[in-house]
Amino acid sequence: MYTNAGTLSFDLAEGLVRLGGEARLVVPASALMALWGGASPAARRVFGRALGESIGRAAAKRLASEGADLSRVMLDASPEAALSELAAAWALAGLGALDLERWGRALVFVIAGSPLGADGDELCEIALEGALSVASGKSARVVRLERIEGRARFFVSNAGATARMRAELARGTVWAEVLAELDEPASRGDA
Amino acid sequence: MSDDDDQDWPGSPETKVSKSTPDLVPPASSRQPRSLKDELPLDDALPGILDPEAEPLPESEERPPASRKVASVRAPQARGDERVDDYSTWEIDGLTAEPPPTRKAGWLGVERKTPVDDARVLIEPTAAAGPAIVRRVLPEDELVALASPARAHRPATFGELLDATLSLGEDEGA
Repeated sequence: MYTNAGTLSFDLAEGLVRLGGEARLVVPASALMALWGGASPAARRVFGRALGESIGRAAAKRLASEGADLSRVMLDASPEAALSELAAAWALAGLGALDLERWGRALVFVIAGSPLGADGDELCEIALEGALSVASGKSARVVRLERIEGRARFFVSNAGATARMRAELARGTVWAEVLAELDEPASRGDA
Repeated sequence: MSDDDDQDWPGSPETKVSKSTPDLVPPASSRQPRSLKDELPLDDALPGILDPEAEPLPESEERPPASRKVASVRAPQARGDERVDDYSTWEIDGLTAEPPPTRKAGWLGVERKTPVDDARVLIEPTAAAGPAIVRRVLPEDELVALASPARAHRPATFGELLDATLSLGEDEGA
């Protein structure tokens, strides 16, 4: 359900841009990446997390009916509805088109057409973590799997699985194989 | 009094009125002069103009136009009427039409062609025209019947999907 709280508004008389009552800035992507390149890893994480949390809040507000519990609305929504609102909020931030893939039990977000390019993939990782954490109330970690031209895939999981994925990717392992190993019954304790 | 002074009025054919006798003026309704179109031949009165009110005389005949660009032939009159030109010999746009095949002289029916046994319609695609594409359609009957669900449990909410991906690899090494 779309509400005015999730609408991006431009107040030209006041010179303000708001999204859900929150003030926004329209910043050139090149300026943002210049700042990103000069920032420390800790500063990057703080900035990316704050950006993602804002996106997650906007998505939850757009999805929630009046009086609903924002901490549950994203979890109880259908995958299609949740993705739609997350993608809408992501697009309002100007970060590209957000899609979702399921590889077994694994969730993989796909971002296409981000103006930040490959240099912005780390920012997208952190922003996705912030958005999912705020929207779902769960701690999630994100790692980029691959980038093919303008499309990049991001794996969502826990800290241990994402750390293993990073290590395997550094060794040159195909990410799909790692996902398959993580999704094996032995990994689930079913064997 | 001459013959020109006398006039026949259509409203009173029996009355003969002379212009020299003003006391015997006929009623106004009968003093309307006859229309010129009734008096004069149409071609002479309005040359080149087709009068929409003019009715063809019973003895009128259609004559082919001078240019012979358009032809209208009434079959009963055309058959055996020597005064009507044979339209098959008219020249239309520089082409002289051949007379239609007839079974006998004067027959104007449609000739039925004898079917040819080996007749085929051959559509041969050319490189310029592109290939002739045959579109496939789905069969109306169902091809697949799903006897059991492919997955025992399909997550219904985004929260269930998120829980599943967050639990990946948690039990490894246990």
